[in-house]
Amino acid sequence: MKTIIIAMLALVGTSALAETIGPAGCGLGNLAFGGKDSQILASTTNGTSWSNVFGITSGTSNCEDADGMAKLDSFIESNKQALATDAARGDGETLASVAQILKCLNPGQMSQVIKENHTKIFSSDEAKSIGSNMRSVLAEEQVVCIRGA
Amino acid sequence: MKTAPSFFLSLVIFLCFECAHAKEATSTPEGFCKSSWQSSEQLNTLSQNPEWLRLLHFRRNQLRFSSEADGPDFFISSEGDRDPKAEMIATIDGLCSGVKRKLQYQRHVKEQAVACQFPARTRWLKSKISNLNFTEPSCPELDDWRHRHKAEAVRLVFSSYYANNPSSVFGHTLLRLDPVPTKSEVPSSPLLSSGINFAAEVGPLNPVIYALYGLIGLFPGRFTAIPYYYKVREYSDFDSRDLWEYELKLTPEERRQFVDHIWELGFTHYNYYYFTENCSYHLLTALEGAVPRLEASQNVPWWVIPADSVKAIVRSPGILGEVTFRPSLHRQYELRKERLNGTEFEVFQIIVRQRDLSRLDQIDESRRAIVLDAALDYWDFKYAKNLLEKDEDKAGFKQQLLKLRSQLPRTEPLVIVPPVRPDLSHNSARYGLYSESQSLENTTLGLELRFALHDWLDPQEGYPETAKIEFFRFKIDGLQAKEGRWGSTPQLADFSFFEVFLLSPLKADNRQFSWRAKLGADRRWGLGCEECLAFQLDLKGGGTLGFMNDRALLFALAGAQVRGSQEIDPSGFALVPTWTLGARFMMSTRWLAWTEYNREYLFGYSADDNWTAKAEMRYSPTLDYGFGVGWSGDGWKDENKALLQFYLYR
Repeated sequence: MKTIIIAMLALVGTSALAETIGPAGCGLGNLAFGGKDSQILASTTNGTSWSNVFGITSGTSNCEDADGMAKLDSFIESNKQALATDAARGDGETLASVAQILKCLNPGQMSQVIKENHTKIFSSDEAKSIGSNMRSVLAEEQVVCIRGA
Repeated sequence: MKTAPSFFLSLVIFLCFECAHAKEATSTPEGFCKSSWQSSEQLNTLSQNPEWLRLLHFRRNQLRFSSEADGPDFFISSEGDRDPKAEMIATIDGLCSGVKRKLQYQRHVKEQAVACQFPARTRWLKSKISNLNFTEPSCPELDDWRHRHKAEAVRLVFSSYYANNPSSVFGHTLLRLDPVPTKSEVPSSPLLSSGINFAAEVGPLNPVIYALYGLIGLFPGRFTAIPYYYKVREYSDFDSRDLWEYELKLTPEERRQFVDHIWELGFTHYNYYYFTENCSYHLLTALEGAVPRLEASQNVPWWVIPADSVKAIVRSPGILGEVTFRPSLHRQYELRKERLNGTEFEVFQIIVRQRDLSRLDQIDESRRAIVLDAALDYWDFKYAKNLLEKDEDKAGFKQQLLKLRSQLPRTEPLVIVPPVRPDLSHNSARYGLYSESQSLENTTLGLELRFALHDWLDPQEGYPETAKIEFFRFKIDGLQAKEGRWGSTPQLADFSFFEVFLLSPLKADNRQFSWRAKLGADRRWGLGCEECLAFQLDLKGGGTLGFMNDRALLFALAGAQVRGSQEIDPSGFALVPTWTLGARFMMSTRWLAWTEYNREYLFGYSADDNWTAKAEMRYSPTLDYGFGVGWSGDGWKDENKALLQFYLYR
């Protein structure tokens, strides 16, 4: 009987509960998507969750910054693959998000410029370089973005 | 197994919140605070008001009347988790005195005045006690929270079933707060909204501990906040889970109260029980705390399945707004693939299999983009993890695809026809009556109970059509007729603690296994166990072929069962190799048939007789009930039975 219970527990443990495992997010020192764990959102928590709700408030989070630059970089970090694909197509939700972050007044034009300069912008796989390439391309092509300069 | 994460939020907003408060914040000598309010009769009634009880998360159960919130900081009175009046007195006392409480969590917030820690309670008390005047403290942290989470819309997000990852077979729910649009002309993108999530917080522990802790409530569950895009990437891109977004029609006051209430809940935790006080349940109670007109938590059973909680919320009168569907990356890929004609699909295959882009020239220039679009989505979903881990090989080829694609023009956006909404599906609990007859004189009548979720023959709308996901299913024989004489010896005939049975039709571009895992008990013969109840762990893998647009599925699986019973010779355990052949036919989403043939190899016994087989058909006139007929055979017992079933979904 004991064996049965342990076997059952083992199965539940590996399945049913896994959904609930591990908050990972802003303010935990590790952008969840950057984890080298093969599990997508690495559950590399440091044992606190207070910072999940309140880390944002405390200003230590890199997700929500008043300044659009840092925000763009963390957006790119988490959405890199989808953004690169959308950018090549010249259309998609991640481009709309970039337009919103940078406050580009003509999102369609912004998307077109990013598409045309895809190779240049995505020459690196580091979010920071992608972000700065993007901003400089947009500036060069005179796309009007309130936070873009 | 996947150490899947959880759910959370964040967001940006501008606009100062409620500057008006400060003005009315003058205390007057005649005010409530100055009166001898502690002895006021008013508090007796007020503290039993259901809205107050909901703000404190009280719930009555068989044992006691107390709050489900388990963090001590959530109560000002030491009796507060049991005595709503004591907590009301302590709250008013705190408001009137303006005292700042030191909170246990000192990482970010050291001290909070009562009005700052409990803005939702405060607002409610002020609405009930007209002359409750006190000096409003300044609350910089709360103001910041409100500033960032001033929501124009609240959406309940259901992340659909993902049967290939057993941890997510029941789906999941979270809430999304959409920001107030800024004055700039740029339309806001939902990706940048916040998600609010409730999840257990667990460290890296071994599975047995997980299970135990989850069942007996040793993990703290907390509300967290994370940008919605994290959840979209996780669910849509990596888990192939579609997301359903249900707008909740809340008034501006309700939305404000909700944002404030979530802030309050950030100061506490709940002991997380996997089946009852889980992710979905506490989203319900959080919503109800802020929106008293909701009656959702009364409308779910004591175990809470995410899809049921969605139903309970959206069926509350006047609450459901717009529903949007966000297809997973995998679904988008399927749609892109459907746009390809024969030659184009061939070229697509060559691109993703042989990484040969030269054949693209054979395709009409105007169609190259859609071939590359399909290839990109394929690459993104197939190699999501490799790309995340910066696998140079996979990333390098994607770079080539991107380069080519960026030189081609934009294409028409995909037209997405959503499947049936998950709230328009059969309820997950099922009650059944059955009869099994060898003849009229030899018949068994019994009762079946299933807590959740879905099987092959249930109405398919709103559920994955190629998966069986069952949890806690009991089949209990009740009345037996033997040679025409009726008697009653109730016995457990079959029990599933958990069963996942997934058929993945093999496709040229998708070679996924089909598999079955069942943990439970049943009654079989052999090994000295003559119809004894034996523990059963059954694991099988194999392949499925789909025909007629997957309306017909043929499968073959092989594997082994571990069976355990004291009566099994000699050790009490047996390992039984087994294989299964079967088919499922879907005439419509409500009319389905299933057939299977199983063979087992018991060592020391003749294999010839060790087979079981079954054929069943079920028709469900509505989502609430269905009828089944069938046949089952057992070679060991040399037995044929006619089956009749009636099921109710509740």
